[in-house]
Amino acid sequence: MGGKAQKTEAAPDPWDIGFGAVLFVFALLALFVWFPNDIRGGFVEVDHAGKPEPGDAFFPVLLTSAILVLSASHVLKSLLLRRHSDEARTTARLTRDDLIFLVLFNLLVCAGLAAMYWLGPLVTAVAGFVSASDLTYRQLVDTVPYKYVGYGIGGFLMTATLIAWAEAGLRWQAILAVMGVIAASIIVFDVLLINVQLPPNADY
Amino acid sequence: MMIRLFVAMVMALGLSLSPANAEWEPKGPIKLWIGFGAGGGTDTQGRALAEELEKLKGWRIIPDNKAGGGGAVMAAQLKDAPADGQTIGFAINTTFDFATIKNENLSIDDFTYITTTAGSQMAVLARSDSGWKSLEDMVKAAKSGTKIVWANWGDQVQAGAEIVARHFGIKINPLRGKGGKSGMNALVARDANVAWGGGVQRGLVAAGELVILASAEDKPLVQAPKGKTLKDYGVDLSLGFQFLLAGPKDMPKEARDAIAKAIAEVLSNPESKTAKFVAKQYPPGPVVIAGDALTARLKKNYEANQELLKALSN
Amino acid sequence: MELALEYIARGVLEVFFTADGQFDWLPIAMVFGGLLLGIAIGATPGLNGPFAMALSLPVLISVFGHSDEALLPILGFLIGIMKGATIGGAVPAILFNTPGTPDAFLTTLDGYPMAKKGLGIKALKVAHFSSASGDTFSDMVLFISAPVLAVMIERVLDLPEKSALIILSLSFMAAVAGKSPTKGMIVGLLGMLLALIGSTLSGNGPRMTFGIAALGNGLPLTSAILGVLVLSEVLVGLEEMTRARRKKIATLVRLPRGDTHFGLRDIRQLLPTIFRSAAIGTAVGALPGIGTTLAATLGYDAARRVSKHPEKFGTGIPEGVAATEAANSSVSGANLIPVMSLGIPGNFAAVFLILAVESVGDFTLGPSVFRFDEIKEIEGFGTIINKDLVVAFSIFTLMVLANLFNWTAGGWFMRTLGVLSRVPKSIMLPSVLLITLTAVYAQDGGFIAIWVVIIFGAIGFVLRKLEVSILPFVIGFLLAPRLEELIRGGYSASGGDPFFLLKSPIALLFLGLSIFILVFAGRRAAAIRA
Repeated sequence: MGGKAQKTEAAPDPWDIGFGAVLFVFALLALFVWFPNDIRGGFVEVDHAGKPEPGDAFFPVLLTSAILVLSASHVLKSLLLRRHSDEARTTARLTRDDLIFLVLFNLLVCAGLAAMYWLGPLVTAVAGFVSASDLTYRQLVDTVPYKYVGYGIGGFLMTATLIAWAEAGLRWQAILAVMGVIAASIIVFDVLLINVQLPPNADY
Repeated sequence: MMIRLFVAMVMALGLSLSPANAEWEPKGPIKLWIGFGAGGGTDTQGRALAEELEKLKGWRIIPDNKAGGGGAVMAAQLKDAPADGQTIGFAINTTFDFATIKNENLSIDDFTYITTTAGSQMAVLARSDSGWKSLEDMVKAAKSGTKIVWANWGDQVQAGAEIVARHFGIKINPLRGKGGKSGMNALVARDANVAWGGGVQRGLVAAGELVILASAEDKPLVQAPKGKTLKDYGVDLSLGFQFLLAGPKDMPKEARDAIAKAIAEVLSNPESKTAKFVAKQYPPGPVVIAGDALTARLKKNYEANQELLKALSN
Repeated sequence: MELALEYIARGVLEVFFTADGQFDWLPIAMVFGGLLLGIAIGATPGLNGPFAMALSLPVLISVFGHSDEALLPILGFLIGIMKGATIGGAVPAILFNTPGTPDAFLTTLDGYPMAKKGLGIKALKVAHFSSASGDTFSDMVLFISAPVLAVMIERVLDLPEKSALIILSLSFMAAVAGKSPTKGMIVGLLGMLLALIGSTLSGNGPRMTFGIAALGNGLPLTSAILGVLVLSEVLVGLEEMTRARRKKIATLVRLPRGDTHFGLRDIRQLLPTIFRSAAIGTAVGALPGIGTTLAATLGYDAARRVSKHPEKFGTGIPEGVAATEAANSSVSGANLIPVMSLGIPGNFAAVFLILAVESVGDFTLGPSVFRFDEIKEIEGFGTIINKDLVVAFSIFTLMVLANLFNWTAGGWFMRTLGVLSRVPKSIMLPSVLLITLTAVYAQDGGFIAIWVVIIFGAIGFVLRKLEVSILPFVIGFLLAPRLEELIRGGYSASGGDPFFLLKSPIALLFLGLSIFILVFAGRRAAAIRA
């Protein structure tokens, strides 16, 4: 952070090494844990006529080996070729703040999706309790208004929260805009298109 | 007229076994999962069927493509769907009686078999300008040094080609494509000189572009009524396939039979889009084998296919 | 020759007529609509053409379906966006001193000073004329060179050479598109690896799916690419805003209004500049992975170097605007040369055209397209014809159509956008997220599509933060299935020779070149940093 433009020898960039190391470990795990457990075919197989033929593992192993070699050479290079200190300022970083943002964002989106997924069945259960019917949401995924409950409310919560986060507050223009987007999506994906379904209806 | 009679006949065989039930109705929309990609022959047939079932019965039917592995990817998901008749799958019999053999995740007993809709016209094909008229001509050419490249679209038919080759003591090179039409394209483009055809070859054969060397069904093909079958040549192989609908295991019998009956009704109307498509692509017309008869037939195929694989690995 | 003409005629007619001979307004309307949307998107700072294409594709597929007839309307719209976005980027660059698309940055250098002098409208006219000329020039080069190149390549290259060529293009993209070629190559390979999840040709059942049945046919392609491109962009934009936490309201400076005339004399004066820049942009565009920004820089530099009064550049002269706009617009047509002749997309716009062609109907793009097969009509079966070639000529027709609209309505529409009030990014980005999730869900029928978007969005976000180019990742993801097929085929054809790739001199040359590029570019990158 000193901002001195002196060109001195410095420690190797931990970010460069980190990038290589993460992918190196990933490649190792893929080669020795993932593939053996998740690819049924072999590396080379003999076909019905007795000719050798590349198996299902052939290309994945080839690619992963290339990643292994390249990431190892990347780590070695950054260890051997020591960079100069003024370079540190230009190297891109994934900061702690970035990661916190990513996690928060995904939590928010998942909360919105969860609302989308569960609101339909919840409303159905409540309505069923009140009217003493035993209908399930699976039977109502093509019935208005049930089929819009999860998408409408879940989608609204997700989008409006994100806007509020970005603007540090929620303006009525934003609320109207989100409602407009949801209405437009419903019209396009559910009314105009007949054989596709809005989330979460295809999962029931 | 022919079609209607034929359907009525098979229906009598299949459906008379189940007792008359109170009419079953789905309680919500029916999801029809098509085990092949959008735009292909199975997809066209499935979507036409969905549309006409909807019109006929007033049921809401939502088709959705779940392609991959010759229907096996769809089957793997169908297996775990609720067995209430509201999720059914459309694929071919080999999805259930062949792909399940080597697969530890799928078993032939994981499903309720509803009905078939149509059957293949499985043929060994070559270009007319090859000069070959029958399988013997091809074998002769192969023995005198012609390189045989045999186009196929899946494991079972590739194994079948290998069995034919072994029977005659010739060498062939398989060429794998995607979908039934790929074999026709390979023949026409001269990438292959022999191909399997399941029904799409009809127009090309009628136009004299391609010739049928042999039938791979149990009987001669509609377009070559006097031609020999593979069995006539002494090859114990039948690769004919049927399009069929299935649901998850333990589907209520009433649901199974009601859906089968509705489908038979669509197919028995020769004016319906589905019946017209089937009559054109898979002559002579719809093949409706339903319920227990279908299940028994698939089990028999399954055992035959196990034998086929065993024979190959020796 | 007669056969070639017949194919061209069929390609052209397919755009204007339906199969039963009715006049078909749909593809034409779609080109027009796409162009207007593209101009508007290009004029909105923070949004660019590929972004709009990414978002439109699943919606278009939902609307038009997967049948063969759906292809031309969908492609027409995408091509319209692609072309519109390049001219739209100049609008805010000239009027507000903010580039609408990154490649319009250099347009601000002379465009905004012109606007301050009261020549804003004239600058827009110059930008439009140069842009449309550059684009048209580039398209003509594409129309001529792609078929010729493709035919040559098909004749010379076999399986091992084609495999090596894909590897070469990937390493070239890794070298030019990002700061670190090695990192670029690693993520390119990673993209390839992820594309192998799912189905196999061997019949052993799906691979690498972690037991998830819905992945049996692979990761849903559109979801994956939308995640890396669109969601990551949304993420980066939102993060910025949550940090800044203030509404950005464009400060509108009242600009004086002076000479708006743009006539023949101006054109004659600018033509050499436009032609020079268009040639540069076309050459740059023909190479995979090099963006429009570099083309604009080179075009501007060249114009200044040749000029008799280089000191005037940057003070608001039409030549400056023309030099950048002609250069960056002439990239888009030439960018399709590698797609059409090699099947290798060189930029994101090309990725979406390939994606559309592969998802809709049964078509492919690549060198095999330009086979002039004999056309045969067969009763009851249809026509035996190389349909891919007809589509290739239809694509060319759609591009010409887009250019025509661009020349006529484009300039007018562009000038009306200056007063368009813009939607704030803080509302737009979350809305884009919701539309993306809805569109992929509708297309693939399940939450799996949404999870893939989210995971790939996170990958894209991390790569952007680390300043590793995501282009090799996306291209690798897209090309992996084909490379696997080529390598398997080559290996089998060689009779199981593990070194089959090294036995062909051309393949060896390509592989050597790709290693050389990675090492050389790595050195250069290190030297620049030091």
